[in-house]
Amino acid sequence: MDEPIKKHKPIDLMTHLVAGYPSLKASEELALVMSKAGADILEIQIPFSDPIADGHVIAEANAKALQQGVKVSDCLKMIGRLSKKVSTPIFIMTYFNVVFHFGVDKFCKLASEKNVQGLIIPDYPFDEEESNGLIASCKNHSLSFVPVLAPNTRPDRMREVLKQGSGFVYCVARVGTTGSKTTIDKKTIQYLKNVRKLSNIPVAVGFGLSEKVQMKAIEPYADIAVIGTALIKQYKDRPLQKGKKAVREFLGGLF
Amino acid sequence: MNYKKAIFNKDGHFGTYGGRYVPELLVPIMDDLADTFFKAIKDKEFLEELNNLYKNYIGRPSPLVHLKNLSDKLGGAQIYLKNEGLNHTGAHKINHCLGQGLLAKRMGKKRIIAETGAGQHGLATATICAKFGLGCTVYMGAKDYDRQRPNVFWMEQLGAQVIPVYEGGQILRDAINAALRDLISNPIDSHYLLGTVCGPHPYPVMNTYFQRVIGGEVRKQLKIKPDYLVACVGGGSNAIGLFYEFLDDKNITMIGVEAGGKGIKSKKHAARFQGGSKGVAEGFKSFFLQDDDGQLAETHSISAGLDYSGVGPQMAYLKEKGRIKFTYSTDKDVLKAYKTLAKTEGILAALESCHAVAEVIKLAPTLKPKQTIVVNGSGRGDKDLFIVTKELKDEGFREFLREQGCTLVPKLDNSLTE
Repeated sequence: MDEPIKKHKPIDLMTHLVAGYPSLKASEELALVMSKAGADILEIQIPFSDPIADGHVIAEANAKALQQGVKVSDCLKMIGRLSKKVSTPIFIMTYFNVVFHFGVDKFCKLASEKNVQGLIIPDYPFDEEESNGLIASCKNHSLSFVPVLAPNTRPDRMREVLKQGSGFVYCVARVGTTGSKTTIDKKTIQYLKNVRKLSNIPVAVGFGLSEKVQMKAIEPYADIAVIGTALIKQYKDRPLQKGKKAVREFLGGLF
Repeated sequence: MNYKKAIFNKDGHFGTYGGRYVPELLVPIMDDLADTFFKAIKDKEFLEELNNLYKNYIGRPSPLVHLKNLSDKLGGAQIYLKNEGLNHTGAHKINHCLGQGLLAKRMGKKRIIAETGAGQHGLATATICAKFGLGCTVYMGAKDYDRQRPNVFWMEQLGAQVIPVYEGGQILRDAINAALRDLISNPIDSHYLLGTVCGPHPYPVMNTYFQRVIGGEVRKQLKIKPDYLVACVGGGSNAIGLFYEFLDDKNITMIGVEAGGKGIKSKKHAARFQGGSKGVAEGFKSFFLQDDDGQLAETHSISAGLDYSGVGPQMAYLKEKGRIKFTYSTDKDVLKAYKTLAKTEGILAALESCHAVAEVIKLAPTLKPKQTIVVNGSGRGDKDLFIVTKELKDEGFREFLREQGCTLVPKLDNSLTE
């Protein structure tokens, strides 16, 4: 039952979850399920009170996790435990204030000690590096600082963003917050082709992916598909055991 | 030290504060907005159009009123009130709404998104949208939507769609988040008309520019140099509007008054400089009320317009430099000031502005009669009808509500009059 559903996938999967949602323990179990069900990367979000880039489903998961009193240190401990149980690479996604308040260098050091591969911080454009030193701290602690691009990012800026980051590039597939459905059209494909031309790090595509047909459409142009909101929808209104089963089935059905 | 230059620059950093901490999707949008703004303020035609609207649409200059009765009563400094409440739509918010509205038209935007707390910024936004023929969506925390219901109605009459936000504490911060999400989803056709000197660059400098008219007029109207300038501070738009002109004048003390709510110890307040700390949220670095994990805290104030966990980055900078002193007024002091101002001067001021008035009432008696205080009367009090009648337990008004068919007359909150 816990065997990988498909051994050879045409594209890697990065599955997202919010630490502490529906509870800290449940999020840890869900991460294990995802890892076993074929996730190639785990994107674990540390909840924040004001997650502006997230749509309602993920924002609500952030709020519920915080209501239960989940602390940043709990999330990091959970990630540490998890990294001992799975070989799937773990990336932390969170908003900058969480890192800033914790202490940029302290956060990076601890994340690195917990075997985290890198950070995805959607509200930290490289322009703010001078006074915060997050990218530098990531480098010092052997973490990837994942560059994020959007379809409206200008070409000269794309180059600059890519130069600052490492690991893989997170391409926001469309204009909007996380979760609403994305149609993979000619424009999206051209955008992914442009990114590919500018860099040779793996290309991840996220925001609004939930279907087989989307996977097929991006497969020639990307290396990693990010599944976030669609996964939360599998377990948000189900008891945990049923939620886990739904996650397995959902991931299996993507290819 | 050139403070004016430090808080009005093309890069949007004020010391370590400010910046543009936004998702990559918003970077080109903020770039375009900044470009349009900095070009427009060098364009004669734009400035003429703006000044014409200031004069002939909203009735600027707003009067500077000598509060002689109050000054005499307190027996100290001479108090002047800059009555921004007499602007069309009843507050200073219209100043930056007109400016940003003209910019939105220049950029070919068809729709305006706004957040509002007290409803004054939403009302001013809905007004300029009607005038400029733009679509208008206003987000309002559900709690504010209820406590400032008259403004919701007026916004709707002006053609705006008002959306209550049920997330978080259901106040201003949640409305800002909802508006940012809307912008992220509709960045091409919509302009986010942010209503204070917060948010990512260029909002703080842009709104400073459009609000500085307040202090500019005061300098001309007062003729002598004031000794003190006092203004309430939510985000900081009315305060910076009054202060900016005088930042580089020596010997003028500037006081920002935050919302002390039910007192600092109660933790039910919105005084960011009393227990807040440095943080980054909603696109900018500044002072925020937050917990030890960097999660923004819930706030409380009798006035929806000051009920916000963050403060403008220029305010944080000027506080750090010692140029602005910060204090706070509690809900209780604010209601007292509201009554005093009404009875001695015939001015019903907004509860937000009464925070500043409350401080002036404490300050004036400690000064000499030849000294001068200018306080910003950032808005008028009509919008607070339901809050004030409830807080003052006005039986006549409750009776009126019953006659109107309200069987559930507002529950009385005893915490203020105890």
